[in-house]
Amino acid sequence: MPDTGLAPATGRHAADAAMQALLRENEKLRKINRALMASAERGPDVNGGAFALFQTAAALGNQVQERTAALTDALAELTRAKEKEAQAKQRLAAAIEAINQGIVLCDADDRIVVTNERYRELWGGLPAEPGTQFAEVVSGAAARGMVATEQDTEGSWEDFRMQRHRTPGEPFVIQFRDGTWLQVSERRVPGGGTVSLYTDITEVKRDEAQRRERELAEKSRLLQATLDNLSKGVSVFDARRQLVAFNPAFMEFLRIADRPADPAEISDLCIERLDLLGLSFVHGPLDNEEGRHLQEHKTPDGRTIEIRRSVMPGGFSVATFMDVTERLRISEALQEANEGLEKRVEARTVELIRANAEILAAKAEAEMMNLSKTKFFAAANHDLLQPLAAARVFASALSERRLSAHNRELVRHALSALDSVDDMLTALLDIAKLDAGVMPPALCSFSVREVMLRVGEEYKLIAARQKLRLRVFAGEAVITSDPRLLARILRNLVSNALRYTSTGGVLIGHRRVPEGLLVGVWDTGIGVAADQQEEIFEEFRRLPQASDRSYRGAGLGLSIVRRASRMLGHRMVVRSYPGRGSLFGIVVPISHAPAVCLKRPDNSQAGPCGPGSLRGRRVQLIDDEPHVLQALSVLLTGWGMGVSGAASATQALTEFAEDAARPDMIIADYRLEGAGTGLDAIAVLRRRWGDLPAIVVTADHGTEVQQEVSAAGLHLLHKPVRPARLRSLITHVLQHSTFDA
Amino acid sequence: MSGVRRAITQAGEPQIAAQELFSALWQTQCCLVLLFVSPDYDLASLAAALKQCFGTVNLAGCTTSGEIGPGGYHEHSVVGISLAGSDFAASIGLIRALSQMDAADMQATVRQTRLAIYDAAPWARHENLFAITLIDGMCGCEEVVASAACGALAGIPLRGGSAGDGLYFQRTFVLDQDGFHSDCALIVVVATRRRFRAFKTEHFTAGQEKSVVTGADPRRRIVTEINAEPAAAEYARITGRKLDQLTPASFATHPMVVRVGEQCFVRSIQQVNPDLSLAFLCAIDEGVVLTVGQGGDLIGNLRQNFSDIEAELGVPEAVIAFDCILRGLELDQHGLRAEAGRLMDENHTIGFSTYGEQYEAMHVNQTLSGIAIGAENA
Repeated sequence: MPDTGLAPATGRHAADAAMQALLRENEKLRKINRALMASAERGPDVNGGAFALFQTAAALGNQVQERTAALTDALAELTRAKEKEAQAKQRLAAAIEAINQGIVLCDADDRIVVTNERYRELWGGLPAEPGTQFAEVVSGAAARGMVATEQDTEGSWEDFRMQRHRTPGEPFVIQFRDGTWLQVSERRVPGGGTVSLYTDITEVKRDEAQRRERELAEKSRLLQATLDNLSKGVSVFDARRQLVAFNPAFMEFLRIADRPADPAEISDLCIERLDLLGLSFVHGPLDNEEGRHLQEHKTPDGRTIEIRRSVMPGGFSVATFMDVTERLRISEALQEANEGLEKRVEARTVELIRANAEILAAKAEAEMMNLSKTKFFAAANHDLLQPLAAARVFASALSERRLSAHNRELVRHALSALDSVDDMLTALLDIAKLDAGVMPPALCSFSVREVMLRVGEEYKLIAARQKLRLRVFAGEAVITSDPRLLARILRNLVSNALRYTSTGGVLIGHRRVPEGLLVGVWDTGIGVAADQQEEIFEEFRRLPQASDRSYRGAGLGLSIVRRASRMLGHRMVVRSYPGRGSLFGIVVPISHAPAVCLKRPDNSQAGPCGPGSLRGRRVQLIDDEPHVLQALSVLLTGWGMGVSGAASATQALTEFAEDAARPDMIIADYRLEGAGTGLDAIAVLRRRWGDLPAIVVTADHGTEVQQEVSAAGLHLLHKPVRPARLRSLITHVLQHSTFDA
Repeated sequence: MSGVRRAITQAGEPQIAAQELFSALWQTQCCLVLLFVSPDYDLASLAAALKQCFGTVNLAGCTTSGEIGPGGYHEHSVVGISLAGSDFAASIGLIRALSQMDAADMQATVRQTRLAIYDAAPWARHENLFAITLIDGMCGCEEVVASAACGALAGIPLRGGSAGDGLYFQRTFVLDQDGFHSDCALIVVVATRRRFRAFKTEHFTAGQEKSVVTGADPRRRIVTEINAEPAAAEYARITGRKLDQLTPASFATHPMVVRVGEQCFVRSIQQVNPDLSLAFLCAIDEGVVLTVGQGGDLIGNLRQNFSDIEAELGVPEAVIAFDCILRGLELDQHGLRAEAGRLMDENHTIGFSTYGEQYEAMHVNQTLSGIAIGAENA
């Protein structure tokens, strides 16, 4: 090729250079391509190097790492847990080994899981590998005859053990033939297995046995000591007739002083002696005999021994020997004493019967005496007072006649004297009656007001005449007392009060006191000096009186009051201030029973009447006292009445003229001679004349007569008869009579 | 009073330095002392002095390419932070013979260290934990360590730094109670009641023009060819520089960037080898597509990072920071070192200039990574 200079050379070079450059470029690109493709193919390969790691990390972020990390963590935890478990297992195993008891744990299939050394020791030689069936172990033990069984156990020990193992309950005990004792305690564990614990209790058992022996020995000693101390003899023979127990007293009984040493010799000796004494039954029951036997045996020296023998289970013959000599002696002595006692009792009984009879006789006598006393007073009442009454009637009648002033004065004095005597006699009689005890108080519950008002009423006039106030202050109190005696007491007190008061007044009142009710009479009289307050209760004691009434009391009032209050058991109260006044009262108990209504004698029922209403009326008198009859007759005639008198109803009827006018009324005395009473007489008369009104007159203040009279529908009048009262009663009776002739 | 203490010593004498550090950092119930040590010290003497002073206190640290502490950026100093009291606990694990270890063994050590924290702090829950790695910067196996560590940390945030030695790239060390070690990595697991934030920030984005690594020695992190041309030459060309202008400063301003998915990661160059291959500070491989990174506003980015931290935690009580050495070089280039240092100081940063940073399972370059510890409990 010609070298023409630059142009052709440059062109070629330039083309070559360009070609080279292109080729170079191509090469480079191919290389780049290769590198890229290789990189792409490699991919994010972890084993491919650091950049791949980087890429992966950048691309994926942390995700994969985290997950892997979590996994590795879990594995680490698991490893740790496994380690802990292994540790725990080790500790448990160590603990099990450390325990002094044998342990075997079986799983739910009853295969051994674990045993400890102690267990393997105890059950030496038996299979104990984990996985061994428990039943195998038990049958192994049974086959070896390791266990000592009791003869009376039902079934085999093997069955027993397996049954216990399957249903664990209370601990039980196993004894080995070599003398070891085990206590077995079994229990189900969670998961279905069973754990069994074996504790060696041989020592404990041994100690127990020793203790029991000691106790037994101790008891034996105690028993023997007791026997020795008994005063009774005791012997015990066994079934083979050997003496197994006895005491000194037994020896003494048999008169054995030197006891041989050998028990057999002692036994023979005792049997010999017993046979000699004829007491063979002591050392054993005879054939065909029951166990118990009792015999009294008299010794040569005069003692009596009571021998009791019983036979105990096992053929033991126990006998006691008691010296009963003394007891017998005492028994006899008692017997004698008993008999002596009976005789004495008999004798005494006879005495007593006699004494009783005497007492009864004495009592009958006393009663009779009492009765006669009562009769005496009744009689005295009647007989003493009758003439007096008559006298008064006569005097009264006289006083109603026309008299000269002088005569009138005389009659007045006579009346007054009669009044005195009346009062005194009544008072004396009362005293006597009270003393003799024939006026027993008849207690009842009644309103105190009634009595107080009545008494007040009686003395109203008298008080008025003396220009003294008389007030009654009576509440509704109910008291327990004898109303009759109380009235008497109050009357006496009021009477005294009026007598010894010149100005002022008298109050009949009551006041509550701790023991009951103080019922009394207050006055503004002259009073009684303290040193005279006892005196005034004496009989016939009178003080200078205040009022100038010509009538002075007998001085008996207070003595009656005292007697009466004593009889009633009421306390007397006296308070008196000379120149000012006095209180005389008694304390009566308040009653909680309802009040009994008091029957008033028909005296008080009498109403006012006029003097002229009696003229022409006719009355039949029945009284067995002639002068009473006379007196009454005079009185009644003086009033204008027609009077017939008789001693008895019979007489009255006999004397009654056929054509005479029938009487309008009857007045009869209660006590009449003969069998009947005034009531009977009235009845007889009434049969003849019809149901005439009648008045019964009596000195008897008792309630019986009152009741009888009112039961008969008749009127009662008490003696001594006051003319005014008699008159008003008659008037009353005639006015209210339903009978029409 | 328990808590956090930060310190710096500029004393050259190991004894004095140790004592100064001790008096500044010692607290009762001290559970961790981190020390970042200038490689200029007599390391053996310093280790002995530290042992004498701190005794059996948990100690971790490494050599640096510069220190960050009270006052900002420093050199020829030791900076340190101590954590103490009932709010903190720590456990330390040493992974030896990195070059011979495999991932599974590393994981075991990390896991052990992590599980050990529960003994020190029974109150710790997962959310109370973070981890720090300090890795020998010359071992070249940070990826394996980070990946393995992250795997064994089960989601605990991980940040770390590769130990430096100025810019010599000769020998770097990690420090524990027993002294300085090379070819080792430290894993520190910290439990804290405080609120904390693990962060990473960088200011580079990918460029336009793509290049491909066509020749490499991945094990030694060497790229021999880029775009089928000698690496250094090609690098110079694509960054518009001459071969002889390639200095660490220029590496700092013109790093290579790789894209993985959406994310960009700087692949920093350590040096140009005599055979015109490039030594990288992180993993590379044939076929990797790189671009030239475009730098943004470092300071602005840094400020933003700290204000994000402040927004979450308030002003942090301390920030443990792993700051790539190349960032420092860049700051120097633009005269921004002092300003950056102020920002660091304001946020109570204790850290060092690294030969690379660990961010979760990755080993990265030219970032600022770290843990900010708040003043208040969670």
